[in-house]
Amino acid sequence: MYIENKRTGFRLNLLVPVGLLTVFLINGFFPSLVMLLAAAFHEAGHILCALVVGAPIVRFDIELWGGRMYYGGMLGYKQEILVSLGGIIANLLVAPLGLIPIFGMYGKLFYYSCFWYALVNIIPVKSLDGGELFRCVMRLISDPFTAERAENAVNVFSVLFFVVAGLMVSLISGFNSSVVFLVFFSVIVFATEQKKTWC
Amino acid sequence: MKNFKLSGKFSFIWLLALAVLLITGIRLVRETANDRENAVEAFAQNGAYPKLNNTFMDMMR
Repeated sequence: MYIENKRTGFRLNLLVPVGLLTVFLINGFFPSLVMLLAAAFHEAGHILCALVVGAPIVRFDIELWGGRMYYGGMLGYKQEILVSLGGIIANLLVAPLGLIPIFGMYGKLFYYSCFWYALVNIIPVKSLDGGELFRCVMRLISDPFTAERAENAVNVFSVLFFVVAGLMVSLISGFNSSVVFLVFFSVIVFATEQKKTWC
Repeated sequence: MKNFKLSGKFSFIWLLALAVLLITGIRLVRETANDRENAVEAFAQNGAYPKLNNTFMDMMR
């Protein structure tokens, strides 16, 4: 369910405030803000690339994972690849800023958050940038039927990979409360997102 | 406010997701607050601050 502004095309998934509030309550204001800043750079990367390829943004959704943009007009697959890569590239470019000594621990958190955003988004799950990238690459190199079958197969394996990786990260972190919540959060997002794809 | 409206379908999986998020969130926030309180108490009693493992910052310390 969303709350939507019809005039601007801005939509907010109502699960977001619940997740964000928990992250804020566990981690405190500034660390949460730093992580949101990494997300903001990611979205800014997408918006910048959309502007470069000349795609007007007609709708912007805030989902649990971050934003999702819808552009007006038709984009070529190569242009879509560039827009999908925009967020990941932006994160990788700004991540080293966090290592500047004056930013201290907050800088380090920003550095890791940026890499986390980039790494998670490269996974080819349908609702993530990696899924969109894989879709466009497959459409470029093969026929639509094969491409769709490959997308579905890769999507199933990616979701399984994500669940296993989440469990492993939780274990390695000694079941850190924030990590456990993040893994939970992610699995729930995928459950709600996959319902749209599989049903 | 007239530009804002609710959209999307209210499904069972959405309700389940909301319930799981709320329950886990409340549990973890309470657990975190308890751990921090106990750590302050332990520090007051024996001068040693136990290693906490609740926030992302805790993992980097």
